[in-house]
Amino acid sequence: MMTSTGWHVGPKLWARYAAGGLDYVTESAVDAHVVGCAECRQAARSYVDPAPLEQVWAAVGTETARPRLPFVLRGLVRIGLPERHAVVLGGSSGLHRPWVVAVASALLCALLSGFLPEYQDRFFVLLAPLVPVLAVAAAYDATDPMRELFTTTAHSKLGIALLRTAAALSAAVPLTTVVGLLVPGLESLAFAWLVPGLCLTVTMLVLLTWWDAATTTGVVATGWACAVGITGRDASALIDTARMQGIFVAVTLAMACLLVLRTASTRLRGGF
Amino acid sequence: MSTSEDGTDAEVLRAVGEGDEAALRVLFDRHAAWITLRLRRRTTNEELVSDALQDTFVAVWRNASRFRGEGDVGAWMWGIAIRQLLQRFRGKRLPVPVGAELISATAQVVQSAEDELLVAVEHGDVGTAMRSLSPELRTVIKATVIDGLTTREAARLLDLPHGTVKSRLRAAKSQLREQLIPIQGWGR
Repeated sequence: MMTSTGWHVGPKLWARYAAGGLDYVTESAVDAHVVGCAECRQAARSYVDPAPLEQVWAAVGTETARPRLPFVLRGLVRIGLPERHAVVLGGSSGLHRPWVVAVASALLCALLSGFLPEYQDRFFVLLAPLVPVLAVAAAYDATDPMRELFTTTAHSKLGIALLRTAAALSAAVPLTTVVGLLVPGLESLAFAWLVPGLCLTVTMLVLLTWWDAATTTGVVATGWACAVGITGRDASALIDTARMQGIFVAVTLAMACLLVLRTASTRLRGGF
Repeated sequence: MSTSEDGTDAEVLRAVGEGDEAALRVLFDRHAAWITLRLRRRTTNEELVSDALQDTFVAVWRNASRFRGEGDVGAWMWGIAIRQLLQRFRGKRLPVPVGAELISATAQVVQSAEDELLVAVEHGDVGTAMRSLSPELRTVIKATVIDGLTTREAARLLDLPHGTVKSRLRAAKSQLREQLIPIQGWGR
């Protein structure tokens, strides 16, 4: 009987192991032994073709040279976001910025409508739909570090725009909804702002095909403030009626079509 | 020449943890071959083997600092490799040959007396005892004890219900214990 000391996987045994010619028990014995035996692991090198290993090594090198995706994005990749999308998102270091802006403006929205109950409807109607707009604007900082990417990436410009918009909205929408639900007295408006918010965001994306983020935000925000101002005292009427919701849906769809047309036009690079 | 070339695996791994790519290469030279051979015994799909090997070393690169210095680096790496392979099996019918199994050393297995015996399988008594097990029981023993997977992971690998794996493992252990006690006085 062999003892556990001094037993090694000799060349013949490795050869048979590699060829799959060992019985179950002996194979297990080899498996159990090699994890702890450097000598036997070294001996294994003669039984593997080095060329494919070098290919693997080259691939490892490519991976290790790549910067790691931020934690949140790794999580998203794990649950199904295609990695190439995550890379595009990770490429805009400005991702935190839209998220911070979303948090800050949602909070502002909550504070104003919470502490000024008299005007809370008006503030909420004014600010809530602008939260996603601001978040998206922050994703499109005027000094856009992604601009270069547009011309080099395989992504369409629209693809990138929507991807970043989605990333910004993922923070803005839930937060603002929470504000609407938590602040007393706003319950009826908690969801009514969603369609107007979407409408303003899509409008903004269309305008972004002409202007930079700062100008666009100014135009959209001013436009919206005027609309709220004109409505006057009962601001909730601007968003909280079936008729207005219908109008916002229609405008959103029209703007979406326009956006597709704009990004498909040959004037823009990387159109899809 | 990199100093890590003569170091122990644990030392080299520490260097990897500090971002030394040459050290990663040293580990690759030492471990890629046997891991490849062993992975090939778990799947006939050469592409899966290459992918799992690649992912293993990428994972080693990123997680080197998490190795706590307990146990053998080889066992730790095998634990990563087999799980990378297992991950690639997910959702597929497993292209596994007879000896289906996996090991995890990421979480070092807590070994009972009979587990330890099995790990020293290299010889007669235990070999005989293992041979006496039915193929179903052996497969489960191999996946859990030799390859170090949890019963849940083994179930996924073997494409069996979790409960089946657990009951087969119990049966296999008790059979082994019965056979081994008279021979070597193992157990209490």
